Amino acid sequence: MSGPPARPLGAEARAEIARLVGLYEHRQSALLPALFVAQREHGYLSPEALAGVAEALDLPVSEVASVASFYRLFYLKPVGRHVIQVCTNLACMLNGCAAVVRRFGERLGVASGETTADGRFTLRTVECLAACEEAPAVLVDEDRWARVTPGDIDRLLERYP
Amino acid sequence: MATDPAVRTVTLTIDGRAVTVPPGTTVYQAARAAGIEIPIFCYHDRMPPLGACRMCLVKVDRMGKLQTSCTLPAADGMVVSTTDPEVVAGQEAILEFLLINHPLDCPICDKGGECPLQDQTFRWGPGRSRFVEAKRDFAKPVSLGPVLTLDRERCILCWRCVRFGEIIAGDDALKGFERGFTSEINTPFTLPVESKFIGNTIAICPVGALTSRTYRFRARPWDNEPVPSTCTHCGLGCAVWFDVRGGEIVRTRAREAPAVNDIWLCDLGFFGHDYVASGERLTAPLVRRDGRLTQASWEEALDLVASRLRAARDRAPGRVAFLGGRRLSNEDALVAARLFGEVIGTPHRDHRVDAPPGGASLEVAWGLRAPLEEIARGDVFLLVGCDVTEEYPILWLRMKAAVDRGAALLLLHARRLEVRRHARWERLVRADRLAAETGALADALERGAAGPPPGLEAAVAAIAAGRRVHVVVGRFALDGPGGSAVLAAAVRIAEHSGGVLHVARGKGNDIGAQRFGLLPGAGGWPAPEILRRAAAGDLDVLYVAGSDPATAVTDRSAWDAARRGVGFLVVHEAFLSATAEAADVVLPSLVLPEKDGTVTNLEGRTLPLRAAVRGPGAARGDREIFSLIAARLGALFTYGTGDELFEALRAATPGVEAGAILPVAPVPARLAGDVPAGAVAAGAGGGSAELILATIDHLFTQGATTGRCRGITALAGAPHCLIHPDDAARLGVEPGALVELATGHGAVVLQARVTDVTAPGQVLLPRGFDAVSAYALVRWPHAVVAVTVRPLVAAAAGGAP
Repeated sequence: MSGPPARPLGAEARAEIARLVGLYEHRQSALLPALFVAQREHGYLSPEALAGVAEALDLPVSEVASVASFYRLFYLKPVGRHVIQVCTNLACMLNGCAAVVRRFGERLGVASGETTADGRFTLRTVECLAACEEAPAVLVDEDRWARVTPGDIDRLLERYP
Repeated sequence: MATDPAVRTVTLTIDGRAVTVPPGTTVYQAARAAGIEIPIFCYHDRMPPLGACRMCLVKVDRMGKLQTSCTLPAADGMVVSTTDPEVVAGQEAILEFLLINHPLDCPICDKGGECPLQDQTFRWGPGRSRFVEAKRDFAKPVSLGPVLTLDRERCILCWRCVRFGEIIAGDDALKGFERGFTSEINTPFTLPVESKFIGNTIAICPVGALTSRTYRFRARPWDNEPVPSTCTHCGLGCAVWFDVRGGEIVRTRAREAPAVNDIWLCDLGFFGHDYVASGERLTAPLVRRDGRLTQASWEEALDLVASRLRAARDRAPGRVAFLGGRRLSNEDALVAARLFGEVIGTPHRDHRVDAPPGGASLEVAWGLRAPLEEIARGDVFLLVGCDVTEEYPILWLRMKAAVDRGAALLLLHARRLEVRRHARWERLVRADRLAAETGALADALERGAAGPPPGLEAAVAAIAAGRRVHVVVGRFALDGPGGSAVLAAAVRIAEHSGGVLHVARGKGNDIGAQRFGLLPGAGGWPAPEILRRAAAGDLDVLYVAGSDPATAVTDRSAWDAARRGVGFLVVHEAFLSATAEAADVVLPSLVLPEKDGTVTNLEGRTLPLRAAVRGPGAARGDREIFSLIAARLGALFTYGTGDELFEALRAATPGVEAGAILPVAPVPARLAGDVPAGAVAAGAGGGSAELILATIDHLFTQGATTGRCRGITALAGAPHCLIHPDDAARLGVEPGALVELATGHGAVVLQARVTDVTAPGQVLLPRGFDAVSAYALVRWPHAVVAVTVRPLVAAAAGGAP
């Protein structure tokens, strides 16, 4: 699967990062929000995007890449138009997330970590979405879905063209 | 348990012994001072404690659980045990844990025999493991560039290498990636590591995770014979161990020298000594017969050289000249100076082979004017035309430590330095603007409150506030257009700030050559004049040792003309260099790692050389060759031993003592003029003469020696030039494309790197790549020339930006 063409950070993203820098005492503090800006623009954090963030914040590329690799919400490889993250931690597991993961897999024809052939969805399993009280929890892009059952899934997918 | 602030020391008990230490000392340090060994992995005494590996556990009375002694400050009355059964159990548990994922592949691990993990498992380990599950499985080994290999399975995540890059080198070369169970040390995307100091991470890695690609599988450490000597690449004279096995230097390591390199080396030091064992070393004298260099006996070659020298001397001693010295020892230089000064009687001697005529390099003595340890205490560093990590890497480590304590780093150059992230002020100017900018800075400082011109405020404020200012002028500034003006302005800045002016010029043993007589005597010519006179037919014999003028003289045509004009060229060489190829007699000589003696570093410090290996074939030491020639000219140099020679050095130059600094001569207050600032030679004709060409220094090059070190050659990469994106766009130069650089004097073809590391309006060409010499494009007396850039082929699609 080929991702979007690698390109340096756009002017808009650079301007937004410059604005973010102004919000903090130390430039480094803007790193996480800046990474989200770059990811929104590129869809994922390509080496060029990471280099762009590093340049914008005057940080070593290695430091930026290291931080990006630490967090699951940053994608270092191309992902689908929508990213589905199913929690498989304890509370969700006890409340039936295995069936939810299985149903997503059957419906999309991909395993966890894979992207559908049409580039529409990437399916991932993650540890704890901080929504144990409404397990099983699913995050699609930035929307959180609660008490998801296998029966909900067709309807849920329709909302993300 | 609080320490009484009035108490100047704290006393604690470790294993039943009272130990008294200054406040702030950690329990680990206190124990070590008392000779009590506590095992460690992550702690390294050149970096602050971290407490990551948990190996240094101790039991402290009235503290509930075991403590990490590397992070625990010693307190008065503390009672510590390093041997309590609870501690032993803790140490065993930690080692068992660290070994869970370790592959235990010691039989094929380079670290075996000098591995803290191996040693500590032997001494403190549990002896068995309960772990029966699958270990972490990584691809191994992974290459991180030409010199570094990473084995993530062996890594115990102590973070020493990562913190070295952050704290000591400031290059952030290696980092931790992912997290938890999947944590690993790596570079971004496993790309080749970008560092000039990565060999140090191999040295401080407490396991076999980081190993050297050039040393891999070549020896077991107990089979190596370590020989203490001095690295002679950049001129700072770092102390090294040459590890010798089977008559060959298989590895170079840092030798602790607190005043010079501490415990560190740069990668040129670590990986830059393969050339000694090269199969291309010259092993027998060569004499030109019927136009071709052919092997000859020493007798024949020396007799021939002596007869030509005698004939020239009899005509007039001034018809002989000597060039070189960088690659000679102090003792070699002294004997050469005696041979040419006393026996032959010529004043025309100069080691400054790479200095252009009229440049500031010929006006001042080269060298630092303060010890490295004093530079480390500086609070302002102004680098003018000095690319510190490319030229003198270990000097940067001193500055980095000071910058972390609040010192201001100020950069003025025609290229952006890789240390710019640590700088408080950076000014990027075209090469021909360097003199004007330095002058403007000096003017602004002297005007004081009048308010500096825009862009200079931060620099002026830092220098004005500085109490220990160090102004470092580099080769790029000294030999560039307006070099004397740069130097004069730097003198004013140093004087105004009460600071120290350093002339960061010279490589190898240039300072020793300068000190022991390889400078023009009374009425003698400097190197460029020697070349000019040779070309004019004023010399009968040109004698070269410890230098390769064909590649070092910054105007190739000046060397070619000198060679054509001189009747007889004698060269001491280790390789058939470009100079040797053109010689009438080539005498195969030893290289510095094969010599006993001393060298002088940039501080003016006398440092020891110990022969690590024997030279190849019939190669001889330079001073022996000089003595043999002197004998044929009727002068007997009777230096029985190295000690006698060192005594002669001390007699020749009072103040020379082993290990001690004898300062180099001060910078004169008034300096002679040179090519006026901004003067640029006319271009190659045609319209676009607005680009100028300037040469820059790289640490990793492809010269006669570095080109025979496989790690260094690979690190150097392909010959290339640097072009600003604006100029590249205007000229249609794609990143990575081949371009032709042409001046009125010549043309070269090489790769273009499109980067804002260079100022607009200029092309920067690294020197030291013998295959593509910048000096073919330059014509004295102009330090920079106009250049045209013509793209030859487009870069491959998808090339890196």
